[in-house]
Amino acid sequence: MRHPLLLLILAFVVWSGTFLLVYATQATGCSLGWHNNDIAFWRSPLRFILIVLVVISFVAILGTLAWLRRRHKPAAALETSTFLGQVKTYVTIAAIFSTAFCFAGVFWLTLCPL
Amino acid sequence: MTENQTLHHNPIALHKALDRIWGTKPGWGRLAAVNHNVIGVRFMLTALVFFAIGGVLAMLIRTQLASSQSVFMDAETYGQVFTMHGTIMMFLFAIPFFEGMAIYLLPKLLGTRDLAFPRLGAYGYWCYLFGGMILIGALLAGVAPNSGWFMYTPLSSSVYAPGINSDVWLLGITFVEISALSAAVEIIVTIMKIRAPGMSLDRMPIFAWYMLVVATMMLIGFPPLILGSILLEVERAFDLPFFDPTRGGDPLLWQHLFWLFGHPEVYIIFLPAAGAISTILPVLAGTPLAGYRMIVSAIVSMAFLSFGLWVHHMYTVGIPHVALSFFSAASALVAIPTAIQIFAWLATLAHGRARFSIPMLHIFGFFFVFVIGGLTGVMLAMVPFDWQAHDTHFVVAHLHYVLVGGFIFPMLATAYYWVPHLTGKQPVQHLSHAAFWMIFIGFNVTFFFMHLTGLRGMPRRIFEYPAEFGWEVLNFVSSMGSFVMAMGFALVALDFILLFKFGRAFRRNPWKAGTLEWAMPTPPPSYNFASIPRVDNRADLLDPDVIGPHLAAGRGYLGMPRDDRMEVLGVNSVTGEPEQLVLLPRQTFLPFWTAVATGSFFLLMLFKFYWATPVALAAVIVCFCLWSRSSPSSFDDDAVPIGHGETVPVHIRAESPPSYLAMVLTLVADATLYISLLFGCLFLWISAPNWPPANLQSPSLWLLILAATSMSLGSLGSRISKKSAHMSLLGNGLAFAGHLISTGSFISIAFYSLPSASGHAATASLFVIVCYISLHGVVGSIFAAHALWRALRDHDMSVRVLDLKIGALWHDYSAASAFAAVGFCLLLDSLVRDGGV
Amino acid sequence: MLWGSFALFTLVLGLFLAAVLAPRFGRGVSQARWIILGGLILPVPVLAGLTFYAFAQGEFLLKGAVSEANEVLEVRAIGRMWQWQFSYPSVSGGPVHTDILHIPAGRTIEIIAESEDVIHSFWVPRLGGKIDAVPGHSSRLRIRADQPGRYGGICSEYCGTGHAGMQFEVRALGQDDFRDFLTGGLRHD
Repeated sequence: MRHPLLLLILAFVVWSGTFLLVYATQATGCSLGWHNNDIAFWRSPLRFILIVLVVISFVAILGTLAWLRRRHKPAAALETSTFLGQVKTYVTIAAIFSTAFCFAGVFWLTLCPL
Repeated sequence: MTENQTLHHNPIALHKALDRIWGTKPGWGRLAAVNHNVIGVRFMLTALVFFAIGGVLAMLIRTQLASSQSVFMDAETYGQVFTMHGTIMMFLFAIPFFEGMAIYLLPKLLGTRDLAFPRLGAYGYWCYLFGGMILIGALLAGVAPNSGWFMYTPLSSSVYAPGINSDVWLLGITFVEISALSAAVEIIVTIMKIRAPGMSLDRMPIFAWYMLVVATMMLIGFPPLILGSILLEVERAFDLPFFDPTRGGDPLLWQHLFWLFGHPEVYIIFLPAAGAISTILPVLAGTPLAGYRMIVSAIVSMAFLSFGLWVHHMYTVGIPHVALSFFSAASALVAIPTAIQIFAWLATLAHGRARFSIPMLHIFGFFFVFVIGGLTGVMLAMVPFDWQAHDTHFVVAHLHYVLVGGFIFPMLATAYYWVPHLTGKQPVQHLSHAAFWMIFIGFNVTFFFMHLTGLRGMPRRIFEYPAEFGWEVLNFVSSMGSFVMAMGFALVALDFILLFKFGRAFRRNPWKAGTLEWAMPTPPPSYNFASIPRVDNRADLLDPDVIGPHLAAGRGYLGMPRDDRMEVLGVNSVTGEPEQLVLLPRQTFLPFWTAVATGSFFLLMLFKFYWATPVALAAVIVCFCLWSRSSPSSFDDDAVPIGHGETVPVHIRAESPPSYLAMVLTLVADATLYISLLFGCLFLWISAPNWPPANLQSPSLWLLILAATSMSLGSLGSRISKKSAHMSLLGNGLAFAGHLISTGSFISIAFYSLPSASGHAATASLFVIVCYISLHGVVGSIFAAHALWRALRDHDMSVRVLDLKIGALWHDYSAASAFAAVGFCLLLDSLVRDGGV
Repeated sequence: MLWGSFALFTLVLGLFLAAVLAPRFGRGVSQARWIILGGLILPVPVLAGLTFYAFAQGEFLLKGAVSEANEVLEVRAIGRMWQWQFSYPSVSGGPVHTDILHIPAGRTIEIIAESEDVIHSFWVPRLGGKIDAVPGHSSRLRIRADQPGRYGGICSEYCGTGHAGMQFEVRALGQDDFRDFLTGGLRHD
């Protein structure tokens, strides 16, 4: 499980999990009517849940970056591990940006079908 | 040793010895071919035949639409024609073509002799060919699929499509997809394990990185489609209502499953083409590729993002805006990795000195067309714009700009670049320029004007339109353009025929490339390299002119044929240091017969002889069991010399042999299918009308627990069996019994404990989940029985450890999925009882 | 959006041609800078701006471009092979028409799209928007015709051999005419 290629995609795996979780929660919430009372911004329980989920995953993905940086130890030849380290950092940063960008809509867009 | 010494440093003798082992036999022996050169070329040629058929269908469409009330085709024929055009181009041309290209090129670029699983490649090819023939046969018989290439239910379900048209699509495409999945496994394992020594991850040629990403995407992307096809076929054949809204099914489930495959599919097609450009363009510019690391990062990110935008095909089905926003944002984001690649190529060009050679001209075509396609794609990703343009000819224009720009033009560049490698001849090039300009101009005339037609409100897939709508002139222009384009393709074909006939021979490396495929004679010998190189630099910065003669003289690794064995080196996936000697299986008819058996299963399904299908399935299983008998004979020693004074173990005794990784990957695909199934059933609970069902009798808890617990005996047994030869008998016996009991209990749940599966989607879901687990039980018991048989016959544990390790993976997965199934039964039961809305 | 696309297209193609044809072009800029400028600095703000603008615009369209006070008229549109049937759920005993939809001009209409057989899609190109009618679901879309007049509508999801002929017409009437229509006063021609 410590294969460098798996570490490389770890952050995006978190992003994928968040994606599924947030989308499923939103659909389930609408189906069970958690979005009612959508009058004041914070009164909608569904929006609150979604925001919490997104914030948690954002923190988790930042944590991934920190963890990867800390455990960075040259496993192979210097050249190879520098390469892998750099690609890992790029991909993780891309995942962090994607998380912020993809889920920004939960803060204000219409939650459920009219 | 005497034989080795005479061979050493004598390229001709070495060639003869190796070709006798690796070469494909003539006559009927061709059906036994497993060599990647043969299989790769077959894939590509077959795909080109399908491309021509799809192209003719496109001509028919443009003829029909050239005037407003055309009487050329009626609505039914037109429906079959546009459905088959899309289906053929996507499933029978684009994917198999790049698979063939990867199968042909990868071992050469990686500096090795063949792919990891030659028999699997051959099996995949036959599945592809037979599946494609089913579809073409239906087209000729006038019963081709007619509900559009994405087969939306309920139009494709038995109520509205009672004929076999839809079955042809569902069964034929699933049959073809076997080849995609097997190619995916084969490509990943080859890139991870079968490389030249010294080729660490950072030294891999960029094309290998691209194909690694693409194959992984295929492994995750295809299972949802296969699941959707199975569910729809099961609904059509056995009336299990997954998509029927009157019985708790939902047509939207099909759309989710289809597009979960369908959008990544676009990137699955684009990335191999981009990989080819990243390989060719630096050579033509005479300078190394800019931003290797940036590109690797970009394509990895792209692979993930491309799975987060499937719903952008479904903006108009009434999904809430916040959910659309996730997909919309991901659709915009996916443009960034593309931009990074485009600017990396521009940077390469700027720092090199490129000239407008023929491949370069096609790369220009790619830039021109693909950038337009990308920009209209960003427009469509914007929800409000899409609400207007969705399902119009604007979308048709967009997708052709993306696919032709992102695949056809790069593939033409690829063809002009690598056909000299394939044939050993250089083009005459009298027609190449004219052919390019005809395709390029014809394409843009056809599809640029189609944007306008779409913006003026012309929907897709109409076979006639009123003259007063003002679409006629634009359509006529498009049709004219398409005929120019068709003539351009005919010229390309002629150009290549001339090349085969009159092309000039060349010595080596005509493009002055730095990749390993040019370090061999052309056309390539069956074994690629007379000996395997050691790579000490990034594998696109090498000098084939020096390496080639060195390898031909047998001065690399494995430059000594031994006892008719087909040998390649297996390396550490990260460092590229040799870890094992991989013995490949020799030529065999088994893949052909296995594909025939598989095909007979699909044909029996198609013609509704359901009672006979178990026989076909048994035949498939028997064929696969025979595969292990055709495996190569091994060495008795623990360490085998590979040249340069180094020794490694044979793969069956190695730490992580290729087949172990292959099993892991197969289970990843399997798990993706299972997870899609579970999510799909939950989706029905959330979204489908007519829930909850009137009577969901949950199966008895005790029976469920018995079934799952006995399945975990398999896992326990496989742990015991690794200890010693005697324990092996006990453990495998335990596993065998566990699987049988478990399968029996799950089958009794499916048929006796559940209410009729055709009554409601909830019971149908549980039925399918239970059948899925039973199937794993059956396969698990076969694994256990095989291990038992080997334990009785052969007491040397060391040669059986690999089998046991692979079996253990299967047993563990089966047990985990059985417990997940039990959990899911209980969850669905409680949701329906308490949380049902 | 069109001009922006045109500018980007010209930029990329211009760079390509310059890089190939002019030997010294772009050599002064390092390769990393090329990629960062073109692959990140250029697209990120454009895409971000566009996406968030589209979110706002989508939200606006969803609400039907009306303030809450203005009453919305519901129209049920039922698709079947191969015609549309329109009715007014809020008007009891109201008219039911096939392939002709009467609406009041200047008022927001909420289409409730449903299907009796396969998937259809309700689309009036000049009034904007598009909604699929999926069997088992009812999906909603708000449209509005500012001027009285006739607008062509079409089914935009392939629904079988009659798909091409599944057209309808929207007639936007003045307030008085529409009131007459609802009470059966307006003659159907």
